[in-house]
Amino acid sequence: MRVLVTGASGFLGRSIVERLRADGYRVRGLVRAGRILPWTDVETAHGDLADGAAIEAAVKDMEFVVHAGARVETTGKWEEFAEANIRGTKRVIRAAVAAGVKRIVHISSLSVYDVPRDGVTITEDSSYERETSARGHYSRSKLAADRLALWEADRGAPVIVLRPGLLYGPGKRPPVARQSFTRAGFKLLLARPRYRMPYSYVENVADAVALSLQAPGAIGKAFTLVDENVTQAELVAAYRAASREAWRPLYLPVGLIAAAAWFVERTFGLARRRSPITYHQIRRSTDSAWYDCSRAEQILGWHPRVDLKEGLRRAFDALSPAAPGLAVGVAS
Amino acid sequence: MSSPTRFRVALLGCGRIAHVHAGYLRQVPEVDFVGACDLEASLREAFTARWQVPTYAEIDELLAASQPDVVHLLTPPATHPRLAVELLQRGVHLMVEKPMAFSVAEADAMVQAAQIAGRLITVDHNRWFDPVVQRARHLLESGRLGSLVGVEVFAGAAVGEADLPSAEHWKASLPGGILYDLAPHPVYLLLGFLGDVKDLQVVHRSDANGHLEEVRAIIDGTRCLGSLTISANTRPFANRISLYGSNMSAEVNLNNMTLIVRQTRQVPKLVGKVLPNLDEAAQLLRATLQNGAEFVTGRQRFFPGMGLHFRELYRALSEGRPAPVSARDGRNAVWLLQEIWKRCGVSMVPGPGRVASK
Repeated sequence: MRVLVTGASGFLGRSIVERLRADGYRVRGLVRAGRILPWTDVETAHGDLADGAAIEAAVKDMEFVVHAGARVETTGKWEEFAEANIRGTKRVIRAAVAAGVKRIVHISSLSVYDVPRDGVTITEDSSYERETSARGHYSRSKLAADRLALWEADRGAPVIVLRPGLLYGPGKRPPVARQSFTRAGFKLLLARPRYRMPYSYVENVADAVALSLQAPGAIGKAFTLVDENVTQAELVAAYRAASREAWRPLYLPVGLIAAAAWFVERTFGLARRRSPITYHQIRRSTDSAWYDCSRAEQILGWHPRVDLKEGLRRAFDALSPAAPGLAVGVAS
Repeated sequence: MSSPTRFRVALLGCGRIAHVHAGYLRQVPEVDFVGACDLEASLREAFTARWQVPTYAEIDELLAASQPDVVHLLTPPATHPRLAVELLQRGVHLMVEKPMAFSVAEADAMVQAAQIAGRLITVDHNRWFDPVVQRARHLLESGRLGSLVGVEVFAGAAVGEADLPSAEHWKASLPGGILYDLAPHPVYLLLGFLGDVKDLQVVHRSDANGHLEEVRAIIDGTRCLGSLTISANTRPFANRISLYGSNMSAEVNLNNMTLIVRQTRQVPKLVGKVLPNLDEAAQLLRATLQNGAEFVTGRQRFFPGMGLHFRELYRALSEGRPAPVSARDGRNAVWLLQEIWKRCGVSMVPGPGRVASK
């Protein structure tokens, strides 16, 4: 079984490669020029998502493709995001179809969903976020790529779309909240204690990738992948225990900040200027949803193997200086 | 009552007019503005930065990732027929920026493609919806103007090659030269008041390079007689419509957005010399103050007819009614412009556009 993993040197890509190697796949990783993968049994293909010829060469002789590569930076020009995340996704899918690949797993994001009000339940059939409301170029480009992938699936491409939540795991400090700031022994959280964080442990997502390469009935469908819809208060308790950090949480008044954002937005609007902060941005960061993953459970047979406590323990253990690392090299 | 249908709307073309479309689309309740497409990367970057929507480099990407119900076709007119047919065949409804096409044959092919695909095609005859034109139409439709006796439409500006953005710009290769750029708006406005054309007489003048400079057309329409003046040599830039009715007359100034109504008053002869001027001055002052207030408060912007057109269009579509500008309206405007230009000796094939020697 031969599989290409794009973005193989990334945070999620590394876990996917590990899992697929363990399952007996022969893995080829597509990474940018200069990157060296740490596994001797993984073939390296060099090229970026703007390079159609490199992608075509990389998918050659593959049975499966996992498209985990994306531009994830928080800054940059729109065209850079569009090139990597939209046109890159199109190139990968078109090249894979032309090469006769059996399945293409596209890694999308929970950010594609609209959260119309606090407390809503989201399924794969829920509405997309509106294009004009998406937060920043990354979310906007992932939204477009998700639509594009399913559009290709409607036209016969064997595409499966996975929408994981907020990724955490070894190799990256877990986020404690959507927005947080540390000041004088306090962690200021822009959240309500009952806000639900859609946490996804990186290896649990890698499990879903492996399952979706084989599960009958998965092609053409999107799957939401959230380990636990954990409340902010529960996460803070588990996070402090796992990290052994001594800060105390301080919940910022969300309603007051949303009202202030509304006022700032209107004031800038009167001056016909774009506000640096919008009411929608605050609401989108603080209105929580319950993400229903029953489709992934029923069709993929997916259940999060690693729970929050264990996931946080592994993530923080890996951050300690003594922890053995799995480094992705960069050629000098 | 069922909620109105919403439409996912995208733009093809991210040039200057696309920003105007985007601004007005944002205000239409039935519209989700979902993206835009252009070959030029710098235009895409600027468009996304301003309107916060995804932009795409290819039609294929636009259709796949935006999945629009309606596309506004805002590319240069010479590209309209090819792109319109492609988009219609791929299942979207079309709003085409004016002119719909250069030739009737092209316009007919677009209409036929829409019929085969079972999709709508409409044209952005936005000045027909300008508030001042709407008020003039109301005067006519309500009967206050009486029966319509004559219509004069004037479009004039001192335009020339110096006004072109560059020698490569699409306006540099319009049929007959840059004068064509002034022509589509007055042509559809004239047709809107005249009805169908029964007879047409045309005179024209050209410059030393063979480019059209002055065109005058006299038209016998099903509703009344009309005239059209398009000039490349007049200052200041002017767009006017004069309506002559059996009860009163009205003059629309499209640039200054004023409507002056003139009517007969039973007053002594001397007063009759003064009162009409005072009346016109009062109408101008009132319109100027109103326009000024509306611009300052943001209630009115440039191309106001476009916003009103879009509102009417999408409300009509959500209620299952025909578009306010039909494909036939667009095709008829293309036909009249082609016919006038033909009588000036200009073929509607885009190119240098020189007038054939007589």
